[in-house]
Amino acid sequence: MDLRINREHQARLDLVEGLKVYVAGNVMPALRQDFEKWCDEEKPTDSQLRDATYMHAKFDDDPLYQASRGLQRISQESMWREVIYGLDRRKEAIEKELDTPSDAPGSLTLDPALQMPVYYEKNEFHLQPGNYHRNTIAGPIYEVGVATYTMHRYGKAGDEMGRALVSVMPPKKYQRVLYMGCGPSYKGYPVVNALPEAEHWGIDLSAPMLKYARHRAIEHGHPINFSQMNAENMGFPPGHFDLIYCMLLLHEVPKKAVVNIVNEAARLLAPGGVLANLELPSYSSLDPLSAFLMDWDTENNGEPYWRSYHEMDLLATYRQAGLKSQLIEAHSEWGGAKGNYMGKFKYHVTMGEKIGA
Amino acid sequence: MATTSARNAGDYFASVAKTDMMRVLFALATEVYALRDRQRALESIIKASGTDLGALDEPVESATYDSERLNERDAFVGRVFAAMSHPSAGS
Repeated sequence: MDLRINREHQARLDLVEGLKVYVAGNVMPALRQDFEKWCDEEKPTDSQLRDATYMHAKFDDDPLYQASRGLQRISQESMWREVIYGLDRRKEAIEKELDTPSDAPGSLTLDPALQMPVYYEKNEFHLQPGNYHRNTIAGPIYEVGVATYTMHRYGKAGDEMGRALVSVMPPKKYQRVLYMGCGPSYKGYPVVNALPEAEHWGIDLSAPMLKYARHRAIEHGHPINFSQMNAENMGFPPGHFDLIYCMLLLHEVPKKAVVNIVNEAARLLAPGGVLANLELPSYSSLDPLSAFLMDWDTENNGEPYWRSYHEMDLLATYRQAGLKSQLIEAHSEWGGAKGNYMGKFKYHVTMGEKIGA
Repeated sequence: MATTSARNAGDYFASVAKTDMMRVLFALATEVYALRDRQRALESIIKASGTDLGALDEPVESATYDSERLNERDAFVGRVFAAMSHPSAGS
């Protein structure tokens, strides 16, 4: 599907992305420079800098901080508005294309009776209007929006995270593979390419996302089976998969759901099977300013569970689910080569192996 | 629909000087006016030569993949938002 939008709308979106680039490349470095100068003069302790109340007292009335956060917020709102305006002109045609059945390898199974969890129903992730499930073309909106949101730093294929995950996957024979919270699924294509003999599945709560995922997978020749399910309670038999993975899923759900998802994944893994969860780095691994800025998203960027995810002991949750667990850093071309407001970073992959191989 | 989230926004710029905000607005208005004037002039000249302007509405790639547009965009944003890279405190 050609997701290019016409020149006028693309120009508007380019401007929004330009603003994001400006914030990341000019405003944030100025903020960091001021902060480092202030630290040299005031000499706050590390524990003070890790204390949100202390940092808010320092920053909340700071014009440069406000400019950085305010521009970030309005650029995010503008981004979705312009993507939607740009794609709405073709909405009917896109819907028709997504609704066209196909007998290509792979499958799509939707469950119209599936109950959306409250945390999902009431949120708009990253401020995407209508969230992932209330707009019939949420998938294309997401793909165009996220490319702009990340300033195209996931690469033209949008699959940088999948490549990072593949780079740290334990070498094993994986026969059945499941991508939880797959959305449009393209981030997982590197996993599909790395395991061409395996049977690949993707599940998600959103029917519009899955329709788009199926359409996109067919276009790219990937025989993936998509099914509308809640990752907390999936309809597969015990021990069905050798590899289950997710990327940026667990920070979008409350702690209780994280525990449920890990337990459910552990149930579905065969002995010796692997659960891999790729996420942005934890607060504690970042410098205090980056951690503070990341935390801003909790209240201001449709990420209500971002903080609680970063505060939980996921390795312990894995262990309690019967998984031998470890934290592995995965190379990020985005954070590693180009950096962003967090400075250089690597993805964190919580890797678990089901005991009993 | 696109403004659902915007309704929940706080006053993110409470301490930023209104003068700096107006500098941004004025810089933007200047750019827009100059561009509109140039565009009007160009379209008149092109139409007068008998050229079809339909290509202006065709789909295009993101400026990320077109260095000329990318450089133009970044320079434009830098001009318009210059006051935001070190704003003064408001009252």
